[in-house]
Amino acid sequence: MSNPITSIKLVLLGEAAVGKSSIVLRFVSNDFSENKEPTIGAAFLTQRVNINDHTVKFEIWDTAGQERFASLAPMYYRNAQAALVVYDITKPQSFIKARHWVKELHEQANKNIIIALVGNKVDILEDNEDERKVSREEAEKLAEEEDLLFFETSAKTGTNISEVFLGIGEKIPLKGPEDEHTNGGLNVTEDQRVNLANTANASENASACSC
Amino acid sequence: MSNLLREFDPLSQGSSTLKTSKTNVISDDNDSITSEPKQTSNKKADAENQEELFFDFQTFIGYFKNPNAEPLVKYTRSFLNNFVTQRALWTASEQRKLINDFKLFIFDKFSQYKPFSEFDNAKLRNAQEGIEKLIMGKLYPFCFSPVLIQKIGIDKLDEEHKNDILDDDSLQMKIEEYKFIELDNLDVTNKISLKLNKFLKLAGKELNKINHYKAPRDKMVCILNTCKIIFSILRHFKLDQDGADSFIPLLIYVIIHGNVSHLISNIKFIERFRFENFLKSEDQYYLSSLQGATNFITNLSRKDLTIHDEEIFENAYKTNQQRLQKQREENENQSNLKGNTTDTDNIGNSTQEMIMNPDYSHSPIDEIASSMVSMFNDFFIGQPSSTTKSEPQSKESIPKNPKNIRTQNTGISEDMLDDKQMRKTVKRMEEQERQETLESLYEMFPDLPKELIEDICIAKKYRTGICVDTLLNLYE
Repeated sequence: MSNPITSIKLVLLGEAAVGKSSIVLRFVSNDFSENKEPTIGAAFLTQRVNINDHTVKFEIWDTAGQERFASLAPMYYRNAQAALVVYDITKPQSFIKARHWVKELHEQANKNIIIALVGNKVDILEDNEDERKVSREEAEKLAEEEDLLFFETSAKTGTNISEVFLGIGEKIPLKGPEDEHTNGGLNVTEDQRVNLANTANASENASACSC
Repeated sequence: MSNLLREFDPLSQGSSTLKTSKTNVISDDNDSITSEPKQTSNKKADAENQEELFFDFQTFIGYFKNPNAEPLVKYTRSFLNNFVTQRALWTASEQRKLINDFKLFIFDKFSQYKPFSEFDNAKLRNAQEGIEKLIMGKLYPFCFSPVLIQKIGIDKLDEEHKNDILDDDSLQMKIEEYKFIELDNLDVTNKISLKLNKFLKLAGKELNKINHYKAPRDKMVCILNTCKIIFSILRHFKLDQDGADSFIPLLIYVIIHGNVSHLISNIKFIERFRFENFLKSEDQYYLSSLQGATNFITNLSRKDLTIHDEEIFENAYKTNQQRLQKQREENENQSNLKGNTTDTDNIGNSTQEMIMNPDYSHSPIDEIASSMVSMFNDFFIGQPSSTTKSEPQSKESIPKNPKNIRTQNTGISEDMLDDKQMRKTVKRMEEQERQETLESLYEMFPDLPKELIEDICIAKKYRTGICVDTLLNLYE
């Protein structure tokens, strides 16, 4: 048997065009070429990472960043174990939006959700430091107050991208596949509980290759 | 005969046609299953790969008829019978729990009876899918809100089922109100606006097929296919990198222009009755997206749209309102003529239409497939029955001869259901569906030779998503 696999649902939040999808595309295209998923398109992507003896499978849910779609977000972050809140370090407005997302997640999402605050597009600073409009200190302060992981990244050059996901992976409490469905929300009898675990295992194995 | 039950499934490899080499390979494999040792671990990967690709209802039914598996058949029969006779109406939550509990129960029983006890994961998954399709096909009239309302009437429906219907209507009304909006009202970049409509039409067509199927999985496949086509379009215009930022607006546009009935009821049906272990990852993502998109439309108001020119928008809005007004008047006249004076204020057109046309959601292909599970026709004893008649049986029919009472509302007369005619009907349906796909593709790619498009369709087995993908690549 291979390593135990923990699936993590991770939701991407942030204003349109801050590079949410680019960060993920960079992450999934890095070095894991055997990855066959996804089959449909670049809004849902998966990536496996080995952390210690464990394999973590990120299931990454992209959201539409346009303001008019803000009300759709709860549909996506429901049951998410992790979130990336992304802003563009050259756009103050996107940082304000990021603050808003952090607040909303703390109020509405899973209690134990792990949130990473991500300032993207640091590559722009290489040519011109003046382009920075959101200071590192300000973001660090928010991260500290709200108990967030914090990274500044460049999806373009790859800077810090895998660190974001590894950082999240390390903070997630790892568990065996047999624990997967304990919160299915179903009222099951003792007898059926056994069945539940069995079927959970069976399908975990069945889907192992395709993930 | 055995070919007829094979799933029409544009997403899965090689199963969209009745006779393909791929599906034959599977059958051969199945025939030898009893003598075959359990798969070794290095073969497992292959099998699991297949599991992603195939769902073969007929194969499942074949195993299910195996005398060794008779207890499984009995359990299923008694569950279905209890479900429909114990109570006139279960609430949606009760249904969800009952059906889920039964799946857990029967999936567990698989381990006790041959041939199921010897299955590898891929075959087990197929069997689980088979059970779900079988029972949901049978329970569809009790569980799918738009059909249920015909039996029960809206006043007697439980809250959840009733809300499905009301939500369908709210969505429908908003769609009618904003039917005229263009892509730039949703900020879809104008560089793709031009030919886009044709492409999106095909996506809408695909989404419409959701009402042709009863099994939660089959409905889900329609959603995935729709999303696949949208992503093909995005890829073509190099916008797929923007992920959800560009996907969601197109999905919304497709819903608004797709004329899909009962979308909310369909979504709820999948949520409730798709086995929870199957509804995760990618499926769950796209189902949630569809749900989000329908919520957006239901709550749509002018402030949610980008309006470049107030005057043009205002005019388009007014014209559309006039069209709606006229339509309402016509409808009223019609219902007055019929002497129908019941209060239909909060039941929109869609519901009325549905009541007048009870067969709206029964695709012949699906209907025939479920009728052919002939040994299950005695499930509904105690139900108001239609005719009793000898059954068209497949060659390997079970020795028992249950009373053949069939539910009503099949929309297909039983006389039709003999082997030859059924095969003909299925063929005709498939032919028609293919023809439609071809026509849409001709329209989408007017510059490509028709023969080429047809060749690609044949090669890709008429799987719409992949056909579009391939053709778009050629186009570039």
